Amino acid sequence: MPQDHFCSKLGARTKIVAVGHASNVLGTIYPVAEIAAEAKKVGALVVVDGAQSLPHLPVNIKQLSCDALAFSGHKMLGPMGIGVLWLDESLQESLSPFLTGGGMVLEVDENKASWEKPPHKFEAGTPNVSGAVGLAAAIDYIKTIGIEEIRKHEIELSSYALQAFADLARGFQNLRILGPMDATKRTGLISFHMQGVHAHDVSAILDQRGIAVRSGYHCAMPLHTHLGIGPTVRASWYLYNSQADITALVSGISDAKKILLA
Amino acid sequence: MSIFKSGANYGKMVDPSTSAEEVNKFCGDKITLELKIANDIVADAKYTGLSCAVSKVSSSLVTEYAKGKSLTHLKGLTEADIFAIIGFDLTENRKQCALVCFNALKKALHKVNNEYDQRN
Repeated sequence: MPQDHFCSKLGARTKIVAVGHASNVLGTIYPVAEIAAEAKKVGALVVVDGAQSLPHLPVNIKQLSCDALAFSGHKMLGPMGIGVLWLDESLQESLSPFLTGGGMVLEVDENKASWEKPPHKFEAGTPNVSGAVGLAAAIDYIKTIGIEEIRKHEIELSSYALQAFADLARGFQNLRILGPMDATKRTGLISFHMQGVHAHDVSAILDQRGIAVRSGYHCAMPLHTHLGIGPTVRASWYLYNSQADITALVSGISDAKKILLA
Repeated sequence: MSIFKSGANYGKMVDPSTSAEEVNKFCGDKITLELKIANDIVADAKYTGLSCAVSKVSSSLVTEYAKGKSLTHLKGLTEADIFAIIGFDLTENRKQCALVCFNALKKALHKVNNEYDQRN
């Protein structure tokens, strides 16, 4: 969405601006700080989905000027079933708990109850201790490597992949690569569409070659409809991938084309 | 692959007796099945829609199988029968792709039943 179009949507009735920091389909990194600045002008709260950015980029919450930011454990080498919701201090005080239960009550009688200080007032019930320990270990591991190093590695792989995909697309008009072609403007993934070939069939052929990709609408069907395409294939890479993996991917796509379109 | 590429029974039908739409819950793909019925026998069966190779091949095979069969016989078919008709192994996820046409067939037959009940 262009910036002026976004600004035209803001008004006195705008209470919350919820925005993804990076697209899980296009890879595009969005200018969250600029979006937040515009949202603040109309007094809206800014809620950021950082699940696609925190594992891949150095993120400074203060610089984003958001009020809330969430991210998931399983997208950053951690276990499933755990995530983080960061809230600005003023929100921590003003927000009421959405769940009640053990561990969040300060005092209770027949007519009233008061809550523990945040974050405890938002953490009712039995905590997911093993998940939290697993996520903390994953964050420690990422810190030992360094998020700047991870970002550098991802940009190198993305540049290599974008070039390889562009070369492939030159001889294959039916291949459409989604998202910006500048590796510094995206996270480590490429989604693509092959006209006349179903995404599940491409992913099944890649799977037979030991290449794990995701096919379908990636929980973003309206975006696909907006782009005028059906399901896509998404290949993503992280600190454990190498250029050899990208080469195998592109060669697998080339094979899929030969099998399905010959 | 030859069935996939030939796309047997893919297309629209003129004046179908009944039709049914089915969405693959696994991926959101959708097919439309059309049947021509005469004397409680399926005279013709065709399908259209966006779908993967597994879904296309199984739709071609299921529509081909349905032709000439009685409605009573088709109503008695089970998922196991469909996998036997298709005749190749599938992963759990892709089994949903193979059953889209069968689920549309069940819907279409149910519709025919309801219409019959309403008339009588």
